[in-house]
Amino acid sequence: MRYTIHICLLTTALLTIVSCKKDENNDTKTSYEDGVSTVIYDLAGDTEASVADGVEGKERRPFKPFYFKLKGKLQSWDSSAANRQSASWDIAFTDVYNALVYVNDGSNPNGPGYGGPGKGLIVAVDSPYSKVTVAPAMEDMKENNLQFTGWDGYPQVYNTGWYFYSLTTHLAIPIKNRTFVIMTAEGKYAKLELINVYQGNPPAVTDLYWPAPYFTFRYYVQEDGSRNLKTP
Amino acid sequence: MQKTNLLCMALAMFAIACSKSDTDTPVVNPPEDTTTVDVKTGVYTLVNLAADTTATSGAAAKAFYYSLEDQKTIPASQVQTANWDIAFTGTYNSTILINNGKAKYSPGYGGPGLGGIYLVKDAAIDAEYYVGPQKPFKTIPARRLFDSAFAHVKTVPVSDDQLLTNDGIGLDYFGPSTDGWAFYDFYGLQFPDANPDSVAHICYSMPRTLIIKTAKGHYAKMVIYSIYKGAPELPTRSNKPGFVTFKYAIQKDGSKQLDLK
Repeated sequence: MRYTIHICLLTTALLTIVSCKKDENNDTKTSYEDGVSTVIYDLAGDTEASVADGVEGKERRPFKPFYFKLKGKLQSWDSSAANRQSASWDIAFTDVYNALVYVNDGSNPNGPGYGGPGKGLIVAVDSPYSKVTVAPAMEDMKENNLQFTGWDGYPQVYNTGWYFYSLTTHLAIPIKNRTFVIMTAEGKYAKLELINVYQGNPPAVTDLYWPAPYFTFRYYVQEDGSRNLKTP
Repeated sequence: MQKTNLLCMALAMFAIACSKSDTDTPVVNPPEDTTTVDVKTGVYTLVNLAADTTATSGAAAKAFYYSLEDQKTIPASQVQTANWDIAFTGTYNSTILINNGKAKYSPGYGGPGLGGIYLVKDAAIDAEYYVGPQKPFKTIPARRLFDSAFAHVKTVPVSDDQLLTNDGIGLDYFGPSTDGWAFYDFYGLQFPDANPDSVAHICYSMPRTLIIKTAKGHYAKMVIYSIYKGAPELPTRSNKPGFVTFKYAIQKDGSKQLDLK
């Protein structure tokens, strides 16, 4: 009898924990807010381009890139050389689904900021966003600079991406617990988590025609020039 | 990102099939894996090297290993041996990697492989069809250009330290990739007036020669005519991907002399 009650209590407790967890999972938006980071929800990319044929409201053409300034949350569609070769942006969202993300690096001949003043660098850290508390030393940033992040393992095995592309579902699946430490155009350390390309940041997309690209991402820029990236 | 599956379907776990060749080199009847052929110095064309019929689209992501020395498919269990020379791998399975035991990102890492790879760009050939990265061709490159590009390579044009070992060679400027051997026309830009259902997501091979150093250290050159069944010169979506047709020459004396007939 006593055991039965205990089991009952235990079961109830477990159910409570499970249901609490469920609530937290449903509340995905607030879980990204830590009080100091900037969280961007559903920033629309070039939603009028399409890789599929005959999708209403979309045309079949390459995606137009856009540029984003972390400080000020400024999105720009200006692909002129004057804008590309300036420090007015920190990360560019390019190519298919705008999902290929470059930093503003004036020295990278294959990047959009080539020839400009951008000091951009990007490295990947396989750790949750809040656990990344300090940026690697400058030498390590330069040594491991990815230049861009997109499709994991493409074009070379060692190209570290922010999403997997599933060959069975043809969907992009963001890689969890991968954080990018970047250097802004002006040379400030920042950390960046690219969270989703699908509208509403759904936990699991099963529909090929789920609205995209709508970017959810968050970042923290250390304005004092130090490598401290601690967030709550 | 839907419909990128056409190439993904391609180049899956391969078996070997044969069909008629349009080219002037002898068509090789690839042997059963149980037999061994003595591949001598010379030029060979392999036709419709085909996906295993048991492969599923889910399994298509697996790399496929092939021996130029023995002309046969090598199972993945032998990846750290010198039995294979080229792997069709990567996200689209269109990236060609080689077998190098010292290269961290080669599938043969840790094994005895001595391989390397290098893409030869022939300015005169490129001028006939190529406009620039991510741009449609002037015209779909004719088959004769592949044979000319191949014939123009008479020796290994670079020293061994310039052969790539960690990097593969795949699609030409598709996303962040650089020089490659094929143009993947994601949007159907090559034929803007045609029905997109027929011309978007087509992989056009390019007449560029790949230098391959085999796992055993022999030099070879190859051109890939097509990844579609029957190697049509002008592929459309009605063609079935997953069947590679390529020509290669292998030099077995250890020299870099590739002016072979």
